[in-house]
Amino acid sequence: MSISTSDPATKLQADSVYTFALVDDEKTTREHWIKLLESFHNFKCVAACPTGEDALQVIPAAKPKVILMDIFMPGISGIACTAQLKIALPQTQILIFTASDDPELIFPALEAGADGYLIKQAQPSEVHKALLGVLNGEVPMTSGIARRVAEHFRKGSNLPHQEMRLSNREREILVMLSKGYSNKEIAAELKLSIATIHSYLKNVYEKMHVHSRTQAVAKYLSIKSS
Amino acid sequence: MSFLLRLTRLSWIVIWMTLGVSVRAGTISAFSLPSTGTDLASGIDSSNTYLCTLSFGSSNKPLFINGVPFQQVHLHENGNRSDERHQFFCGSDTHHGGTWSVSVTLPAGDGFAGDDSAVGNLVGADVQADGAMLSLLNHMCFLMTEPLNLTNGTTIKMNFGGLRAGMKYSLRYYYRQWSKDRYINFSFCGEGAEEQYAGNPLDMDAGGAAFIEYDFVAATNDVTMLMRVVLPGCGPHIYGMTLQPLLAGMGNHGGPKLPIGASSAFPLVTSTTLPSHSGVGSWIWASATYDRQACRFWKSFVVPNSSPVRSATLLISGDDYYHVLLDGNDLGRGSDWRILTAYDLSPLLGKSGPHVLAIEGANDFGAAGIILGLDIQLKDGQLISIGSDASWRVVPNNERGWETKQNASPLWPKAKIVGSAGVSPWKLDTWEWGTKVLNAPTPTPVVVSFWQQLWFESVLLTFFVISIATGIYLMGRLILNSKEHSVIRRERARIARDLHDGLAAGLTQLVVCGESAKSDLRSCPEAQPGLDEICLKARGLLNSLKETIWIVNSQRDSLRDLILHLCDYTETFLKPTTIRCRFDVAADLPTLPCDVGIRRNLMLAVNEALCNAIKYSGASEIQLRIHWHDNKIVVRVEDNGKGFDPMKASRERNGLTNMEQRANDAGGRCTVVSQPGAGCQVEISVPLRRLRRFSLWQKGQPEVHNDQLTFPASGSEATESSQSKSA
Repeated sequence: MSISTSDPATKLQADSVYTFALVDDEKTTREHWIKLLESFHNFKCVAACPTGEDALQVIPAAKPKVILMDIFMPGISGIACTAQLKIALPQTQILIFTASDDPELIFPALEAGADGYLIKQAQPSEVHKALLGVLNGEVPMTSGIARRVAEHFRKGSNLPHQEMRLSNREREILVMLSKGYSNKEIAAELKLSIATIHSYLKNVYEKMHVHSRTQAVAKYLSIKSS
Repeated sequence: MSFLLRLTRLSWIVIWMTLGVSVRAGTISAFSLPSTGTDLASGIDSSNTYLCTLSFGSSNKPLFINGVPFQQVHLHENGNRSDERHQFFCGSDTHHGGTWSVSVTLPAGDGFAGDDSAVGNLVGADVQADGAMLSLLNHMCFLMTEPLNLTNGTTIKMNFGGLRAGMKYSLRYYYRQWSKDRYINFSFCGEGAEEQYAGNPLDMDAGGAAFIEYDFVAATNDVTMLMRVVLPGCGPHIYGMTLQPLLAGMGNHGGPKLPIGASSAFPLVTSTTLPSHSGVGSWIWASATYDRQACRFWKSFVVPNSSPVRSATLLISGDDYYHVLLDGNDLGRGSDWRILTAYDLSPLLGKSGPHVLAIEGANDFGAAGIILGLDIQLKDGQLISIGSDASWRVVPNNERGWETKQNASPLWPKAKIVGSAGVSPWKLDTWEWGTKVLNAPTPTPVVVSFWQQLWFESVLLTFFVISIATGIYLMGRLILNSKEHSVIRRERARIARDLHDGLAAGLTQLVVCGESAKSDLRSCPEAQPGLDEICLKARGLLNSLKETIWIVNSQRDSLRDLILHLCDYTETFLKPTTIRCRFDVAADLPTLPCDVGIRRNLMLAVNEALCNAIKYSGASEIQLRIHWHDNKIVVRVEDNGKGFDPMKASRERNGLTNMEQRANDAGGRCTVVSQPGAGCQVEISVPLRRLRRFSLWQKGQPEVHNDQLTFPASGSEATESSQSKSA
C-alpha cells in the first residue's frame, strides 16, 4: 500500500496513538466496543457519549482522531450531530457506527460530513482494519454508496458552481465503483495508485458536503424570503 | 214571377223524373208493377248484379225470384213480435256480391209484423204475381202502427252499408199497398242529405204492387232508407228490396243490366273482404271481450317504390278508446266511437317500403271494437286500401317493440270481426258514418337525428350511468384503499422501526457481547468455537432481519429503492464469497411506486438465482443487470460459470420452478438460458402494474413456496447452508 506523504492521516499515524470517541445510546454496545477497540494496539477512547447533545459538549474539547457515531439516538440524531462536529473538528474522521449497512441511512450521514461507516455487529478485526484504513486516508465507499453518490450528483448536475460538480475522473471512478469494481481494480484499470483513487473519492465527499451545505443555505434563504 | 219559379221547379222535377239523374241529389221514383203479370214484371233478373237482395218474411225457405236468390231476414216469428224487438240483422248476398250489411233501427216499439193470415186479404195478390213473387207476397211483412203506440213521425230506419263513395247505386223497395190512406213517407239518404219522396207512393198503384227506386251517387259507404209514419194505422206491406250498382245508362227497371261478375267496373262487388267506407273496415277486437281490457292491433303494409304517394288518409274510431301509431310515431288518440277521426298520413309515408300501423285499444265495459281504414292513393293512380279486418293481428300485452316490428309473430292471434260499420251497438239515429269526421292536424314528419334516437340516448345514458357508477365505485375504492393503504403504510413503517429498534438492536448487542466475551476469554481457547457460533448465528439472523425490515418498510416502496436494494443485496450476498460482482444498472432510476408483492417476489427470485450460481456454477463473476422499460422491470443474473443443459437439469434441484413461481407471483415470468460451458443467464421480467390502488378486483396471492431468504454468512458456510436447504 503506497501512502501519499501529503495525506494528513500519515501524520496522525506518526503520533501512533489513535484517540477515538464513541457516541451510542446503548450502554452495552458502548462499553463492549470501547473494551474491544481499546484492546487493539494504540487505540484509546477519549470520550463516550450516550447522546448527540453530550457529544457536542464533550467531544470538541477531547479532540479525538476518529469518532464512531450511532445514527438513532434520543435527542438529536447522529447525522445532525455529525454535521455540527464536522464544523468544529474538520480534521477528525467521523465514522457512522450503525447496526444496518442500509445505504439509505448511511448516505445522508455521508452527505452531512461523515467519512465512512462501520457496522456494529462486524467482527472486531474488520472494524480494526477499517479504522486503520480511514486513519490512513482511505475513503471507504461501496458500490451501493457510489451509486447513490453518482445519482446525487446527476440530480445536481445543473448547479451553477463549478466546484460542486464532479470532474470527469471523479465521475469515472464513481461509475466504476458503482459497477462493482474494487479500488484495486479501478487503480489497475485507470493506471492510478490506490491513494490517488482515495483522494479523488475524498474530493467527491467534499463536493457532496459543499453541495449539501449550499442546499441547506438555499433552503434557509428561501424560507426567510417567503 | 211566382209562376216562373213554379215552372222552373216543375221542370227540374220533370228532369229528375225522366232522366233519373241528378246533380246534387238522388232520384226517387215510384213505379207500379203491372196489375197482372209474372215474376218478370218485378224487373228482378238473374242476369243482373245485385249488391243486396232481401225478402221480409217469416219463411226460412230459400226464395228465388226469376232465379235471383233472396236473403231472408227474420223480423218476426209467427207474429211473436217480442222476439223481434230491437233486432238488428246483417244480411249478405254472396251470390251477387260481397258481404253487405243491413241494419234496422227500430223505435221503442215493434214496427214490423208478419201477417201470413192477411195474405188472403191482399187484393189481387194472386193476379199480380205468380211463382216466386207470389210466394214472396205470401210472406211479406207490414209496417204496423195501430196496435203499437207509433205516433205520427215515428221513423224506422234501414241502413245498407258496404258501398263505395262516388259510385252510383240503385235501391228499390217493393211493397204492396194495403190502403191508399194508410201510407207512409219514404225518404232516403245516400248522397249526404235526407231526400223524401214528395208524393204518396200509394198513389202509384192503389190496391196493387209497386216499388220505389232511389238512384244515387254514394257520398259515403252506406245508404239509409227511412219509413216515416204519416198516419196512425198500418203501412204498406213490404216484401223485398234490391240494391244494385248502376252503369251509365242504367236506371229504373228494365234498363241495361250490369252483367254478373262485371268486377272490373265494380271492384267492390267482387271484393272478398268487406268493402268499406272509403277504406273503413269492420269493428275488430280480440276473440274475447271483457271489461277493463287492453288490446293491441298490428298490421304492416308496404308502400311500393313505383310511385310516390299522393294522399294517404286514415279514418279511425275506437270503443272505448284508441291510440294509433305509425312506425312507432304517435298519431293520435280518441275516445268517442261516434266520431271518425281522419289523419293525413301522406307526410309520413313519403318513404317507400314496409310500414307498421299499431293501435292500442282499451275497453271500459261492455262491447269493444276498433274500426279504421287507410286509403293510400299513389300518383300513378294505384290505390292501397287497408281496413280493419280479420287480417289484423292481436299483439300480446307483454310484447316489447311490437309497434315497430315489421313481421308479425306467428303467436299473435288474428283479430275477430265483431261487427260491421254502423251496426249495433255502434249505431245511432243521429249519427251517419262519414258525416262526423274530425280532421286531425296533419302530422309533420319529425326529423330524428341519430343522437335523438332511442338507441343512442340509451347508449349514452347507459354509458353515463356506468361511468358514474364506476366513478363512485372507484372513488370509494380509492378512499377505502388510500385509507387502507395509508394505514398499512403506517403499520409497515412502525413494524420496520420496531424490528430495527428492538430485534435488530438486541441482536447487534448479542454480537457485540459475543465478541466481547471472545476477547475476554482469549486465554481460554476451548470457549472460542461456541462463542464464534453465537456470533455467526446472530449475524445471520441480523442479515435476514435486515431484509425483512427492508421489505416491510413502506418508505422503500419505489422502483428506485428496489433496484438499489437488489444491488446492495447482491453485493452483500456475494461479499463473503470469492465471486466478483458486477452491476449494469440503468442510470435514471424511476421513483414509480412498486408494490410490496413485486419487491418481495423479485427479491426472492434473485436470491434463488444467486444461490444457484454460488452452489452450482463455479463462476468467478456474476453480473447483475437491471433495466427498466415499457413499464417492466427486467432483472438478469448472469454468471460465467460452467453452465448446464436446461433440458437435462432437474428443475427442482436447480430451483428453477421456485424462480418461475416467484416471477409468476409478481405477475411476470422467468426464463433461464444456459448451456454447458457458457454460463447461465436468468432473466426475470415483471410488469409494474401490480399496484392495487386502482384495481377493480383483488385476489389473494397463493403462498406455497419457501419464503425465506437464504443468506450466506461466509463463503463456505453459505454454500453449505444453501445446499442443505435445497436438499
